[in-house]
Amino acid sequence: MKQEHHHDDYQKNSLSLLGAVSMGTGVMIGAGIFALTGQLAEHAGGLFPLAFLAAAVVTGFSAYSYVKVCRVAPSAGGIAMILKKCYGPGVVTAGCSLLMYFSMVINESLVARTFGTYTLQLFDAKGPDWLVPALGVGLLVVAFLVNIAGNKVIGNLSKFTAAVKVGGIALLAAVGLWASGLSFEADPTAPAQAMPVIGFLTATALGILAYTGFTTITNSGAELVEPKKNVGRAIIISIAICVVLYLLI
Amino acid sequence: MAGSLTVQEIIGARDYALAEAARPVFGKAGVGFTVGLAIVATVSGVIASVFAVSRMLAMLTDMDLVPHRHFGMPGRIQKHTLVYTIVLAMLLTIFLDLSRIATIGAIFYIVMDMAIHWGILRRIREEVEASAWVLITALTLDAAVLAALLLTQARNDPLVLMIASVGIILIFGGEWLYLRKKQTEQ
Repeated sequence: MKQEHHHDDYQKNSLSLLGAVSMGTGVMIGAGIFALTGQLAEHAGGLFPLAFLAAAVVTGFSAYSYVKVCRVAPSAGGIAMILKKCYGPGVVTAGCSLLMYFSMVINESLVARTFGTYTLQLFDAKGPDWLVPALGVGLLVVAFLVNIAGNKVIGNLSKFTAAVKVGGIALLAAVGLWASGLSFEADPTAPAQAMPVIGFLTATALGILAYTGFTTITNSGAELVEPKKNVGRAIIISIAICVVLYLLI
Repeated sequence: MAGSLTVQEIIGARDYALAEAARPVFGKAGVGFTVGLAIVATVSGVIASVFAVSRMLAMLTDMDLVPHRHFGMPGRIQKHTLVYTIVLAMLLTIFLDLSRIATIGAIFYIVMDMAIHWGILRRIREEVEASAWVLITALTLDAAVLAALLLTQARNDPLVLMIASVGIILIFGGEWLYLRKKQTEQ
């Protein structure tokens, strides 16, 4: 780990609105649709697309707070700064910031494991139990190496892959809708839920994870061009793109 | 996807539901395409998230809110936090399944989110010109979905709630000790 790049320093105006949006959607789509669809269906039954929508509504209300604060004081600290502004530099600020930190790390493991389960599908095999976590750990090693390599690589990569993802999922959804005749009917074979309301709300709680990626945008307040305007815009656009994609699929 | 699979099938293929959904509609090529897309999405998602998250931890370190040890590593703080983040993510990947990971992640996030809304509502609402009813709605919605999640998992998988509570206690207890120690040192 030699210090060759000075990339930890925050450069003002180094991030465009498009860059911020692709960063937000990049983190969100990885976690959201591939990892969580099955989980949501388990709790909400046939209503799981609505659970994704409900989660977006909850997230929308949450985003309001972040946008409001960023409009007054955009910073690189994001959530930690917001908490510090409210509670001072005490236990509440530190503890809640760490909760956010751990939640995001947990999210990474979720996505890493999902990478494992999907990759195994290529080989039509269930494979031994240890293969999924092993693939996940492998992905984390790659993520580590890319991150060591530097900032520029990540920026370019995330713009490119965000486009691939949004385009690919939209294509999938379009062909899928066309094939199934543009009709969405509630599945009659869906198992009856023991406690439908609770199940639906549980699915909504898990669905929120599909959108928490927007908080990474608040962390970039210091680098974004015209942050007072663009932090809010980037958050709203990213969430909107994800909602549309999740619902199409 | 809701169009091509029954809910039973989605749950059966819970961990790779989207690939399974592509099968009846698009055949094998569709599965390949979906899996490819999933690989691009997950790989880039993890890379971007690891970057953002290790930077967040570096920020907390700069703000003197978390203890930091170099363990003899060279380089800047953000490189160290990168190492911690990756190691932690690996451990979680190895030891927890998807449903548990998702539950703990959601609980932590929602608790933090509620703290932010509450903080803004009570302390800086006027300064940032936020509307009280939006904040209260946000709090209510968070509380409702969190309560439902806790209730469901208390029936299905009480162990995961134990893990989450121990995590929260360790985080806040650890911070309390750390910040108190720092204060007496000064």
